[in-house]
Amino acid sequence: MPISRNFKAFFSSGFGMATYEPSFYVEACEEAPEMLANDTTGNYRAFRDEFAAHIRDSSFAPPSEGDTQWMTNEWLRNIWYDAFGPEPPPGDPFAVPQEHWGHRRLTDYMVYAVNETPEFSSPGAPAWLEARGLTFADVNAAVELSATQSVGFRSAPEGWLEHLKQLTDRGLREPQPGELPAG
Amino acid sequence: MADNAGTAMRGELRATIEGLLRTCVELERRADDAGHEARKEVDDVARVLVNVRVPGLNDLTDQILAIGGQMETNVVRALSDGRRTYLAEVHELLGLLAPYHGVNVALGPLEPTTIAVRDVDAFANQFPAGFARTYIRDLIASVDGGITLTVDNAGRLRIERVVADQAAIDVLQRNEEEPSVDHRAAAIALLKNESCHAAERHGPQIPKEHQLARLIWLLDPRGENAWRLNSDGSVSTRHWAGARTGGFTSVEALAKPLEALLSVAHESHGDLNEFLNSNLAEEQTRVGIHVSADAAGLVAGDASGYRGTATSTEEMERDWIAARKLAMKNGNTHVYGTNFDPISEGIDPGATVVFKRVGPAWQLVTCFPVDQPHPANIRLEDLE
Repeated sequence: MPISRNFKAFFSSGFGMATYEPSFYVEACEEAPEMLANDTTGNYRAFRDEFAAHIRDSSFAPPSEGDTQWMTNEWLRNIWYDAFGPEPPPGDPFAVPQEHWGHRRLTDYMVYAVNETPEFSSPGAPAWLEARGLTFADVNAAVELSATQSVGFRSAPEGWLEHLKQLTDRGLREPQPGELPAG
Repeated sequence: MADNAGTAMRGELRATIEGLLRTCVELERRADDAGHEARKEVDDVARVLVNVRVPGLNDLTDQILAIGGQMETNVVRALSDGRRTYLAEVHELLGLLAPYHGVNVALGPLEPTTIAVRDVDAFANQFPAGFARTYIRDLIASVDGGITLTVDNAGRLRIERVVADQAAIDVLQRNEEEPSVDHRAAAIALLKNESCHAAERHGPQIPKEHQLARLIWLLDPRGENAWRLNSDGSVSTRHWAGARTGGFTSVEALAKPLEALLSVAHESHGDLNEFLNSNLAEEQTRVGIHVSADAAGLVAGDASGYRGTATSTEEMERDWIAARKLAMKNGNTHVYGTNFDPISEGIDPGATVVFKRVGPAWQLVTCFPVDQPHPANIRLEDLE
């Protein structure tokens, strides 16, 4: 699925700006429940549905050279969690095990908005954590995981390029550099 | 781009690699100094002997000079042998960092050479092509210009909690009647809004040291966010910045991208709110617009700041940020930055102008110089 104008509008409304304007990223995540609740036009729901489709179909192209489709999908899964919570996007073939979030796996929201105490964290952090069944202590412990421990970095699974090729052949996505030739 | 799992591990890897390479550069410098010093002393001895004419010892001067040359060679060789251990360690650590960069195959071997670190490209070529070589080259290239500051010095900086941008705005206002500048009054109005921190975080009045403290220790130059140096040496802060800090070197430069944007908006719709509303979805509440340096008339020297060392890709930036997060937790280490002019050094330079929708109106949130637009941003020339 090509990226729609509606998706682009919402995505660039904070979610895609974590490294440039983290406060916007944090705001965009914190306001997501309210946006869904007050979505009279259905545009926000359409955005969320398309978000899930891009994860399912690997159809959000890597934003810059050197990023792979797998890394891009993993980044999108983190944004999904930050915005919409622990329920994985519908149809995700490589959903993150729920118990990893905030323990073995950290997201940009956790890095930016959750610090040692509420005083040094985003005002919205307590509610955000509660909605996900996490505590400040959980996230801080995950940040401090020692170098010797195996942590939740996920490499692309076995047969990944073949999986992408099938999606490409079905016309669900555009092929990206370094992938298997079409056909 | 990938997840931040194990920020500590990632940060430790990144910090250790840079630390080892900096040590290599320092060792080489000292060995060179020691070698030169040894040779100079021997030369001095030889020079005294030049005037001594003893039958049968005519070759002595040459022999002594040869010893000096040999000593210099020996010192440098001993160093490069000893350095192998460091480089092997760097190579191994890069292998652990590689998966974060989408590299899922084992790194190629380290080439056994004795090349000096100062020959940056040749030195980097010892490392396997691709991810590892690029990383090494970027790190070595930033050793000499690498700047940091201690957490104590950061803690001593005085943040003036005055409305820092008022001075900047005053200067703009004085020049408001300049006939060559359109839309200056509108630009000032945007900057004056309370929710705007463009001048307070990116204005020309901010001392360079504060920009560095923001980069290394996340000290807010605006003084708004809590920042505390704890008794165990760690730092707590609510402020956040990426791996680049800095701003405009004059108030005129700060106004340039705003004036360029306002000019386009007024030509097409006669009004900024109309312009943004007609280009953006109804529900969009925030937007980052890239105004290219050409469109804004920004030139080399209009912007200045710092960027984290070896942060040329988004994943390298995440490595650096992880190392900073660790440094702030430990308090006993630090990361490095280099001086940076995003306009002259950027590949697609300009300014990011950020707006937020409040009711029916769009408010300016910030405006800062960039070396390239973020992929999520919209370009001014694409708006109608």
